[in-house]
Amino acid sequence: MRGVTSPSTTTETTTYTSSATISPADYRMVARLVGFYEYGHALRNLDQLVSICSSEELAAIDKIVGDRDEFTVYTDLGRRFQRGPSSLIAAASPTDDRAKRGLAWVMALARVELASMLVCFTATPQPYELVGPTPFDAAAYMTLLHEGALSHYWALVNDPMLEPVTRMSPLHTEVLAYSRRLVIARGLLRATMKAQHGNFSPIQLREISAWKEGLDSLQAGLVAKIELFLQHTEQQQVTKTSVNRGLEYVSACAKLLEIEQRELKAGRAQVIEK
Amino acid sequence: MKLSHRVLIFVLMTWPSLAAVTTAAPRNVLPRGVQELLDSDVIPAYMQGDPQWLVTSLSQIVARVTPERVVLINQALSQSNLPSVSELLLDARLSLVLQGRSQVLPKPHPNEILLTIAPVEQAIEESLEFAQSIAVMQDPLPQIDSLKAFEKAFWDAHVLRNRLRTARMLAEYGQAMVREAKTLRPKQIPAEQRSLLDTDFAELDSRLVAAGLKLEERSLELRVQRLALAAKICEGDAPIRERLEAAFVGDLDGELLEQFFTANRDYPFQNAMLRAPGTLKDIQSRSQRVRESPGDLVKKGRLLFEGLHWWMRGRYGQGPEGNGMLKSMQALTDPVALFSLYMPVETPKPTDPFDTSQYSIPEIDRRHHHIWQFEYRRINVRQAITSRQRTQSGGEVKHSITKFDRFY
Repeated sequence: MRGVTSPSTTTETTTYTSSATISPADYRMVARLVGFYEYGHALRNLDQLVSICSSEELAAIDKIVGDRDEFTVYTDLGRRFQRGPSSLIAAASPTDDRAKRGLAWVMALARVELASMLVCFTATPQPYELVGPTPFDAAAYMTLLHEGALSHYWALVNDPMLEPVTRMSPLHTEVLAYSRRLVIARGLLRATMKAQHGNFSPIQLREISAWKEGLDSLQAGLVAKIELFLQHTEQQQVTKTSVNRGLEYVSACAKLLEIEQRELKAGRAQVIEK
Repeated sequence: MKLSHRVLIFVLMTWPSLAAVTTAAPRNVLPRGVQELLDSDVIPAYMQGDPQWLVTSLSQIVARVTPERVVLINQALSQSNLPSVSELLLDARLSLVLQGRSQVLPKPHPNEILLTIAPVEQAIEESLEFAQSIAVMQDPLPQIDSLKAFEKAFWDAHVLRNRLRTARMLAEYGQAMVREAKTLRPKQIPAEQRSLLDTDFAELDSRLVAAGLKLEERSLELRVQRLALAAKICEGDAPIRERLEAAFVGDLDGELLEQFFTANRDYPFQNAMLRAPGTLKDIQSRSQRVRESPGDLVKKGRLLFEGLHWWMRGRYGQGPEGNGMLKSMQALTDPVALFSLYMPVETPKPTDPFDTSQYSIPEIDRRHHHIWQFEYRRINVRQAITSRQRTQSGGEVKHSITKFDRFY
């Protein structure tokens, strides 16, 4: 008996589910920033020094620090990023006025840098207040805080990358980085508003509040986008079809086949092709 | 390349994406594969301060190009304000060695070996020349009579100490390179480069060791002299500012000298004053006079100068990664890695950030302008198979009877 199987079709449907995860925040990373450990140690020493020195000694110390070029701190950096008028920036100051010297400026710079690192990489509540100034360096601190807020705001709003980043998929690292950038900018604006509250005119207060609200909503948009992306799961079905060729086979009695072979070999039989 | 001289390609006004920086060499000058490796690996690795990635990618390029092509690559790198191939390789390899991560270094290709021997030798010679040039190493030691002048001398000694340490690591590296080069087949070494195999790094190393020993002795001599001056100032009626400085340095010198002389009573000094039997007693007596100065000046001096020292490190220090803005991952677990920073060779004099005509000092005027760019978190998409169904159709067996035309 001779037989055949018809071609068979195998259809395999696989369902893939995609889900996004974000690597966890690691607050220890702040220690990798050059300046975190260093400014922290600097302030621990200098804060204690200020607390035990007389005003005469502090004046002498201020002179020691002020006489050394390496401790000069240039200020008013926000102006570099300014593109339009603002009530929040003072009239242009001569170059000499921007080069600040003395212990108070040294301490103030360390505080703003350290607090910014905390706000950017940890969940420390109100870091600018936590490392806030002593009466000795309060004025310098307020100046550098204010300058930091202006620099970050203007650099951000004038950054040509900002708009494309808001449209990018959160899979691009830039989205997370800009979100972090907004955290620091908003932190500086908030701290400045709090520290300068009594000193700002109503116009200044309105302007800085509007800035903060603008950045708040920008960040809210980015965060919402990231969260939505993380919550979203996508299912995809892939169907594969494979066709198996048919099979021909012969089934016969083994004894008969053996006889057939023998008869053919002996010449007593022959195959007639039809 | 010195890390303190790195050119920061971040443009501060807009803080653009790093991906925008590519080599400016015409595409038809370099082979496409090399150009792609430069753009996709070498430059990003350099910009991100990742020495392992840099060595791995650049080694691949060096292994497959001729010395003439290396010149072209150097031109391309130079147009992007990047150091030359040999400088990049050396710096990255040394950086990993300094971090104790030499085990991740790929074995250098013969091309790389030949490319780096001469710069290594030159860097060591420069360090030895520097050692001969500074006042602290002159014979006899020049007389110093003010705390300010002492400060300069100690700074020079500090810089030299660091340079000698790095140079010794280079000498060790150079010896290994020459050993490797000697195992190469003659045809692998162009005739004009065969003289590189004669570079005697062992001899250079012994000169570095001798310079180091002399430097340490000179440093002790300087401290003894400065302690004597500090004790005199603390007891006098100098302005409070000067007494504060004297109290700090006198206390520091006294402590260090007492520790050294107590632990090394029979040290074979070259200098007769250091060998004299009464030296330790003099040191102890002067230290005591400094510590008894009124107004708790020693404590105040310590708080001030240690505080300023830490501030300097925060302001001007550079880490091994992230364009100098970051310390290595080991800093999270290893106190040495947490402390270690590259510091400027010369006392920095800050420049006006508004003056864009000159090299900016410090390179980063506010760290908080840039730290947000260090993004260690990632969003990853995972795809999992949640179901699989299989159906089959057809394949039915159709029987048929075939009649044989013969009878069995």
